[in-house]
Amino acid sequence: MDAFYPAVEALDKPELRGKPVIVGGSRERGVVSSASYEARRFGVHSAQPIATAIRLCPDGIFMPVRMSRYKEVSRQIFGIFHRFTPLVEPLSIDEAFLDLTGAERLMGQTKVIAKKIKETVLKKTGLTVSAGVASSKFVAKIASDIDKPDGLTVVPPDRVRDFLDPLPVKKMWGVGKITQQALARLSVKTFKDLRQIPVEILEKKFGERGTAMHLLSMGIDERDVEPERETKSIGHEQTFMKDILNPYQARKEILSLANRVAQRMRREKVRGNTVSLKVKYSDFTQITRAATLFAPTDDTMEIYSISCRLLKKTAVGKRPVRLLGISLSQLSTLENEKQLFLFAQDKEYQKRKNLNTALDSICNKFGEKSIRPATLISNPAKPELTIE
Amino acid sequence: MEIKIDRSELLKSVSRVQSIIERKSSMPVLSTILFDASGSDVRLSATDLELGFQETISANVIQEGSITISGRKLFEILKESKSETFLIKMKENNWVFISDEVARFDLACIAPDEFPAFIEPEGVAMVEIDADTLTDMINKTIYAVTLEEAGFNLSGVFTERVSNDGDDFLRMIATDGHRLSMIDKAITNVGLLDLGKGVMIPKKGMSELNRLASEGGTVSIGFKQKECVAKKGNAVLVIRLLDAKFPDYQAVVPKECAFPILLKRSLLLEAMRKMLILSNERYRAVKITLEKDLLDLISTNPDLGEGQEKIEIKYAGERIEAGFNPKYFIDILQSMESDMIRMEFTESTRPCVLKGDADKGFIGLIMPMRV
Repeated sequence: MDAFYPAVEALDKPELRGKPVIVGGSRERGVVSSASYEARRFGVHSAQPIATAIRLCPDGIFMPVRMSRYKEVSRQIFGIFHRFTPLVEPLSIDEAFLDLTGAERLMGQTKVIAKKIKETVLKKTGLTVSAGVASSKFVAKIASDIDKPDGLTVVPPDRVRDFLDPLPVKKMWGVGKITQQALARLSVKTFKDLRQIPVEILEKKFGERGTAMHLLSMGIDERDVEPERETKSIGHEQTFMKDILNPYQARKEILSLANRVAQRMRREKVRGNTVSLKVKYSDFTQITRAATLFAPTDDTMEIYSISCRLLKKTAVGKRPVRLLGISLSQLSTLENEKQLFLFAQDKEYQKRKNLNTALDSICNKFGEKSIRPATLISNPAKPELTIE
Repeated sequence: MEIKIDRSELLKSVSRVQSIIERKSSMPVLSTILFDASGSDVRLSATDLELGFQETISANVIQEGSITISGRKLFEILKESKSETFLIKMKENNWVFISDEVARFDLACIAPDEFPAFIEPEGVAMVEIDADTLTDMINKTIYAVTLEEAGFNLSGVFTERVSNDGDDFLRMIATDGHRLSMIDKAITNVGLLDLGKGVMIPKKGMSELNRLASEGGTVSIGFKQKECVAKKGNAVLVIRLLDAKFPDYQAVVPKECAFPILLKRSLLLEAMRKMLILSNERYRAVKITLEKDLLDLISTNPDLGEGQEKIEIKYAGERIEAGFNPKYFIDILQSMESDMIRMEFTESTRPCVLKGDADKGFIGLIMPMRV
């Protein structure tokens, strides 16, 4: 999708059309989630602090993120994709791979199908899509980015090399600033340079990634379109209005995050074996600390207490913190946990499980904020609570 | 501080503490070694706040005092040098001068008073343990400790004193919740140890204790409140004990079974290693079937294929089928020494027990998997 969030905003408020719309967090601390093309002309881009965006584009229209609305539109668009092929691999809320192999016979050339998808999306939702058609995911993704917005780029199999060769290497997945610099030292600036450098040199310098880069430079990417991508981790993070220095305040935020993560895990019926804590300090340096459990969990209090232990391995409380995040990985669904435990899950565990079930059903019925740990109920009149 | 010191002596001590000093730490001083020179000795200290190690070696002390030096850098400098003696000298503003008369280094160091003192507790009742016995106990349990940070109440080796028929034993147990390894050894005077109701020694502390014991001889060991103290020669190791509750392991050790299987340890170990070839993250179970005089192992991985091995045994019990993680068998069997082992297995939801005559006092438990 082209500038998806602002496009949805302009869809709901037509007066925003053609204006520099910037969707993101708060003015003081937030970052840009997505900017309309009009705003991008001022140098505004996603992940930029809102404060910078305001400076670059003082007349911009700043809007909060309305995720549930975007999800709604996204579902509608994915529904359209599914009319053309069952093989739809979502890449994000507004991006997907579609495998059209075999569809040609039914619906004509892939270029024609791509056009039709674009038209249908525009007709049904009023939003424009940019598409890339190629014989591999990698090339298709690059092609879709070439001619935004409302673009359609077709790269026939015998033209892959001509298409890729002149592109700068930074267009390649996983080639960030550092790799770009390392490649520049080898005089590699374009895909053609990369293709022509002996693979041994790349392997020596980058290991397995070197081999992968070499293959990608020739447009070789054999990964299939995988419709149901397995969730690898579940997490939440929060950027704070004001940097946090108080360790109690930090733990309170941790509790809130743990609660949200645990609720989501229980809703999706998965449990995680590794808890990761992400801390971004006020100077934007970021660290993560992780702990692996002996049995997977979906329990708020367990995730909270482990995160608090992890907190001790950070400088939280000593350095101002702008963001905290918790995520659980090594997920297992309840069915595939096969290893039996020596020690019966203790009574405490069963109690907490029952408690969680009860809490979840209250939240389902009366809304997410209807019941939560007392510590999380803000009451400015009272002094801060100490939670251990 | 100014000392002249034998390079190989110092290198031995400095390489000894490489596993203790922190590589990347929020406290840079933890990556250093503290030198305290007095009389004709220099005492080296290293700590990661969870454990502390001190060793005293003799040196020609020209001027008494203390310094800290980056443990990693000092190790590399000593390793690259061929000289016999080193001069280490404190200069102004925490600069340290190091020379082997061929090369010289001026290193910016951290003030010694920033080094967190790891004080050896006083009045600890110490008991001498044969180093090989200690190593044996550690090697037979440490692998079962949960990996990394895992299950906080299991991330160490539980150590306690048990009495049996009037004899006192030292017992060590480790588990990750799926398997458990336990060993008892009769140790003279073990009753003097202040073990209370048992203590949890963290995994890193255990491997440092193992390193201390690895050179043979005897190790004195003692416990006081929250610490374990171990001494060998001029070296002292102080380990902070974990404040954790160990689960009620007694309840999970099965009673003797009616139809134990006797088989060659190497045979089962090799078979399990073969079964491991086809196991991965998603499919790790080997299916074991026990029937009359036969032990059948099958490992199935839908992504790869199937492997099977049949081992002839003497068995007159009921047919039992269960899945196991072969890795757990390999860990236990590898740590054992017995030629013939005894395998006791009664139910597909109860643990399988491994014992051996030459592994006196040892018992290994493995919980099955659902297949």
